[in-house]
Amino acid sequence: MNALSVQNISKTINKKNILKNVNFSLEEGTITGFIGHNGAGKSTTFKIIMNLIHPNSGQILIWDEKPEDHDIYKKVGYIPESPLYPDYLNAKEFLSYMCDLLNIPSAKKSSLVKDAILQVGIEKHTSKLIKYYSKGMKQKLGIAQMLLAQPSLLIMDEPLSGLDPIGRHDILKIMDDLKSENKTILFSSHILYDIEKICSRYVMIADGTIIGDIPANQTNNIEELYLSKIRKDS
Amino acid sequence: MKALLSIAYYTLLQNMRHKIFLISIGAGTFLIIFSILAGEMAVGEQTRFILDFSMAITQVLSLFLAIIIGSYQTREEIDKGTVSLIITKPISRSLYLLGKFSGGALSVLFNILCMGVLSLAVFYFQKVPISIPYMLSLYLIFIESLIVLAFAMFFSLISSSIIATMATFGTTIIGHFSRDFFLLSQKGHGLARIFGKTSYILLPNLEKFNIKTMVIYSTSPSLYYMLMVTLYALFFMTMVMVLNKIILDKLDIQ
Repeated sequence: MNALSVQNISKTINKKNILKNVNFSLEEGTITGFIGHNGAGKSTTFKIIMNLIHPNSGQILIWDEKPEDHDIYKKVGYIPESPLYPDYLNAKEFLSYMCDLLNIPSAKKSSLVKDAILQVGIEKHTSKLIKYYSKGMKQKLGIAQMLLAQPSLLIMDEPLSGLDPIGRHDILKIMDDLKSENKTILFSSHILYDIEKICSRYVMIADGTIIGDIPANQTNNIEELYLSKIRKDS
Repeated sequence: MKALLSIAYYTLLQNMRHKIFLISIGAGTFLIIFSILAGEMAVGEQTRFILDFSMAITQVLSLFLAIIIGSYQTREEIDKGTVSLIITKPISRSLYLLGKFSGGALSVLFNILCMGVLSLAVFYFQKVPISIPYMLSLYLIFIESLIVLAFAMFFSLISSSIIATMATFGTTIIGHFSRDFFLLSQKGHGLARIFGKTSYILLPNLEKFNIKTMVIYSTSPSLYYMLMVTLYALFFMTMVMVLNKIILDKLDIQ
């Protein structure tokens, strides 16, 4: 069964075609790397999946359902690309707020918040206001809020961008753990080496068009394949 | 319901931890205490002066907060991307909007309560009689601020925070002089006439919420008046919030 189907999505913003008939789907339990250069349409695709942007045409199916009912998003975790977290809150308050939005019962809330904090390793900084967090800590907080409802489908927009090697290692380790829990993950990154390490499938996008969609075992060098596709496309 | 209350609570927290809010409460406290000194100069009119001054301060600060909160709180969350962490949870955009409005309303209410308690303390020590009309005036300041808050959110959804602040400020001023604008426009021609008539029809007459003169002369507005004014406010709030919902539903969150 497909956890996610993106069907013929097109989007025009300011008369520019950002996405042109984008099609791909994610099988349950797979990790898919969404590869593309800056401005290729990765973030727009993610935002359309999460109902933040309305497509001009096409549709999104999440477990074969149109996400008209907001409840389906309880099973979907999302990290936007570099969001600004509410900096007037500390990590505990922020995660508690997210639990309320997810309608998590109060009795379960504190243990879930505690587990999420431990899972991403920010337990020493929970009472500090988010505005004092480093980029890596914010990314970990993003993952923590994403994991609160224990979603089965995870959409991660550039979760590794701007991180130092230790930060990248930590986030990749968390993603590896999620992989072993059989979660379905779609994530984008510029660092093809990271994508190669963890993904079971690659979807490539350039100028709003899907230029490749292949299982990881069909290539030994994703960077070479991506570059050859880009050159062929242009 | 839980999500709505939570958005409202964290919006209140957001506002209370903001410098502008603290400065506003501080300025209000200073000015109300200052009214004791200023009242000394109004020989024979001290009671009237203190009452008038404290109501004016409460009203101006509440409207100021409603304009700032409404213009900035939602627009900033949209511009900074914070909203994408919230509305990607299983909640509708309408619920988010209602939560932000409720949080803004709670912030304004908190401000009015602070000013009210402080004013009552000043009244007590200055032997100014505490009347029911004074309490009713605080209620009317609150619902007037809610209309202004809804308008500020409307302008912030279709423009930037700065433009929204200016537009809401303009709306508030026009709202307080709408009857005068209307009467003036009847005497004018062309654009002035159209402007006067349109603003009278489309914008709320905020002077309906001003009962300061009644309070000073210890006259209580009728129950019918209070009910009609409440319904009038509810009508405008509902219309503007429905418009806000339509705009937010269509908005692409970049």
